[in-house]
Amino acid sequence: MQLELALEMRISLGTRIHIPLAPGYTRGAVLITEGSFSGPGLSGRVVPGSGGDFPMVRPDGSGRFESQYLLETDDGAHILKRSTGVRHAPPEVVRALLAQEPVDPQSYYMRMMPRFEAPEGRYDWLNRTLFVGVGQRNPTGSVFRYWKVV
Amino acid sequence: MTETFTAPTPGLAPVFDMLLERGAPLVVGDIATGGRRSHVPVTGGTFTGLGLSGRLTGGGETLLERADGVTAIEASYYIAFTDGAVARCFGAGYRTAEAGMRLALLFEAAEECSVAELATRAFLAEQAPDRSTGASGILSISRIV
Repeated sequence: MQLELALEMRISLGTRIHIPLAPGYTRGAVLITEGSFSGPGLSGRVVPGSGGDFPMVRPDGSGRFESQYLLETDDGAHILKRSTGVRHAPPEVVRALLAQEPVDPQSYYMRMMPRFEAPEGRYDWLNRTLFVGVGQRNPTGSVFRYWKVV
Repeated sequence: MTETFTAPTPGLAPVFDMLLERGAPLVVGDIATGGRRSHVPVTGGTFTGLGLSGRLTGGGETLLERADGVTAIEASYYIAFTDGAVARCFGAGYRTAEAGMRLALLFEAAEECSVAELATRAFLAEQAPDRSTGASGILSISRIV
């Protein structure tokens, strides 16, 4: 297996919600207001209001991600993107991340493993391909890059 | 590309081999929501790598053979390590005639146990396309670095 860069996605994040499920377990909800993506043979926008990221954050810095939202390609196809992921970071880095302070993206481990549901046709390779994603938060939002497993 | 991307570029580090012994499939059949559903139980096997050694004690692969020829897989494997620690390895992926089986995997383990660190990383696994229809096979697991 090898990784091949397939997609870069830029998203703006809106409302942040925290659900304190139990002591030490918080489910976050970060809604995506808008976004765009591009890669070889694949570009378009994130459908506004179609979803967000829902991280499970533990005080020790570990976390699991669940995200779901819709993509719309430049030629009008709709693609459902669902992702799971893991983050592991020192407690001080987590504190800074949660406070939305600038954080060196090399200072923590965060990897996403998205899956897609795309219509039959030119995008249906997404329905049988695994990906690895890496994210970075910038002042104006987040940037993700996705590598396909080939 | 208005802002520099400074996050790490991921890579794959081969770390574990999971020898899976599979039992007879439980076949649900062609289901109303599309595809053919079945489940393949894990009956045994071994897990080795990075100085760890364990036995497969349960789990299985839940399959949906789709109309596009791709089998979507949800997998869950239970591993008992030689020191008594237990981990659950779980994830999802696809099986195709060309690429074989590929899974994106995570682990769960007790917080204080010897293999707790497995739960802090993401993994990819691959079993090459079957040369036979044999029930056993080796899943090669790489850590996503």
